[in-house]
Amino acid sequence: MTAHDRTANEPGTAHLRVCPRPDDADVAAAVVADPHLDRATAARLRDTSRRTRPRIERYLLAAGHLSATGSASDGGRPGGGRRRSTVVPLAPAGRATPPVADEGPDVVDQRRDLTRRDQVILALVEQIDELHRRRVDSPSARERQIAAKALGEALYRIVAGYQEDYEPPHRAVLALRRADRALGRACERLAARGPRRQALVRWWARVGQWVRLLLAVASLVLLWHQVLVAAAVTVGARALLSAGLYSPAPPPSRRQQVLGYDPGWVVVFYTHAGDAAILTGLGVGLHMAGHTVWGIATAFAGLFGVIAAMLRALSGQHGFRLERCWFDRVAMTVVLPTATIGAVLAPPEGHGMVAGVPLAGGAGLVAAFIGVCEVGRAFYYALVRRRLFRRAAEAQGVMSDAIVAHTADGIVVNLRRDGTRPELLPLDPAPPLQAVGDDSVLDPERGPGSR
Amino acid sequence: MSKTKARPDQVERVSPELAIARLDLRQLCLLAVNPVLTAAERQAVGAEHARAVAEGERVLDRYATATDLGVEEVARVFFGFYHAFPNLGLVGPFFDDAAELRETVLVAAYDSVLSGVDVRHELHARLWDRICDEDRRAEAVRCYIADRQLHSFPPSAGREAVERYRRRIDTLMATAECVPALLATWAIERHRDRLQDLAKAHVKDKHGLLELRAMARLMRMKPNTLTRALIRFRARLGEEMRLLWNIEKTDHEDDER
Repeated sequence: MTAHDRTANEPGTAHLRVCPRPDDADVAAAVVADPHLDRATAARLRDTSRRTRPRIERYLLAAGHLSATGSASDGGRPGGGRRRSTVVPLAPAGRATPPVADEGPDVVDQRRDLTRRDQVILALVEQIDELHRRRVDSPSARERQIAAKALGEALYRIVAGYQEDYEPPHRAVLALRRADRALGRACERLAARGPRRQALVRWWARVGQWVRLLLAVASLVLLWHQVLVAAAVTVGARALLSAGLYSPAPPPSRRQQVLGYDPGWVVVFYTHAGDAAILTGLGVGLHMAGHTVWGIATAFAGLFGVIAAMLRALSGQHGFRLERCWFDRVAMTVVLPTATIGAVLAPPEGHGMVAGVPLAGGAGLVAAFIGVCEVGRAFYYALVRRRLFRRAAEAQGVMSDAIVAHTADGIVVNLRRDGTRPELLPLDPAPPLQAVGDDSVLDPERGPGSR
Repeated sequence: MSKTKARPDQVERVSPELAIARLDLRQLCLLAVNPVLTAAERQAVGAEHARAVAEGERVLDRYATATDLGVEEVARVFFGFYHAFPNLGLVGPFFDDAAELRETVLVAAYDSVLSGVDVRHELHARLWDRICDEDRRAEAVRCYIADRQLHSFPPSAGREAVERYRRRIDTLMATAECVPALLATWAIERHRDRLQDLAKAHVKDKHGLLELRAMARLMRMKPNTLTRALIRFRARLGEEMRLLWNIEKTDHEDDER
């Protein structure tokens, strides 16, 4: 029994067709034996040649072995065939004609036109590169804007027409994400209930970020001057307004995902800067109450929270596609008023100590924990993206069908062909590239507390 | 030790199919497919064919061992040996049996007589046509994965793992670039000795192997690009196997088996 036979008898391969191997003497005999040709075989060979000739000629033309005028271009190899000009009279009339009418169009061969397919992909990538260049380097602001739009449209079409290849997250990450989504659904259900005046909600969506920042700064000033009751009222009002007037933001559109730029980062910054201001005020209060270490730790926890939040926002700008997290917002919305009211009811210089930790210091601990989670989250997704980068680069090198689109924002999309679809970009230079849609989808109004 | 020098008229005789390789490929094609030509075609190449027959008989008389076959039959044996047989290991799985590949070679020779294109290019185009057929490709991949020299199954691999691996290979093979890479892998691993033998023989530049160089031109790629694709494909294949079966290496396990 040969090694090949043993392999064929292994589980899962036993039913495979045993292929001819050139080592076997009987196969060799089958190839070289019986050199005689009878009339039936000769007729069959002629018929095979006549049927398949147009297709073969196309391959020879593509490879440059046959010129378009019908002459053989052998490259002057010794022993090669003669020029067709010497043998043209030999060709029967039907040889150069397309296949007979009853065969119909050769759709299968059109699908096999791999060269054309490669050219299309190459032209597409070149156009995307050119758009990137114009988007970044063009001296004209108008051209930069149009190039960004056209690029977004092209990438949107790519993503819409292809499957994206993502690495599934770790099981623990999936469980945490599921819990976070459940919390988010609950928040959105609560936000949808109750009588709410739409005008007020719209007003809050427009100026909410400024109002919250002003309230946070006012809280900082009040805490600094030890006006604890007014500070608690201010912080509580800030939390109640954020929770009560929250309106669910529309999910990020595909175009927005592809472009990567999220204008909501300003809201994120103001929100976390306000939190940091309140935590700083609590830290000052702790210092004045004699807990200097806890005061410094709480103030720095606020600063760390801002840095972590901005790191996460920056990661989102670079295509890490971090999903929105609900735990941190809900926790900070609850913890800050609780800590401030706790400082009023149970001052740290009195009974406001729980296991040696002042209540205001607890808020700092929560903020620090959230910051650590944000940083860990950003790094985890950075590692995932790095693996995706590697896989995408590998696919780009090996699979001719894969399109790997690198945007200026760092998005890498590893795409696989998914069915038939229209061309992404016009390959002819005559029609200009049209950008479809407008910027309104890129700048959706986000509700307060959306980050 | 003294070496005896052979006289010029004492030429070492070789087998007829090797001796007739001294003819041009064009002449060999004319001899091999003469029965396939129609009357009009035969009349048009009559003079050429007559010269090829005369040259073939002269070569056989001078360089070949004794044979009962005529010069046309010897030419067909030549194509069987040096065009069909070496390609059998490469593209054999794309054909139903060996006779079909032999007939493909003869059709290529027939086309070469009429078109003037080198028979090797004609054959490569026909082989490429086969490879491009997606149905045949899916059939052929099952033969490729059954070969232990290309990639072997670990002893612990069950039916599901093998099936999963086969589907994965199907996917890899579905891309245009992987097929010649796989074929080139096959060629290097299975035909290294034969490639060297053919390079030394009198039929150098006349054999019909599916070479990387020829294949790259047919695909309108540079040979270096195809070589790099082959290297990447090999690396990817190994990585796929390790990922699918969660194994480090299969060599020692196969040796143990």
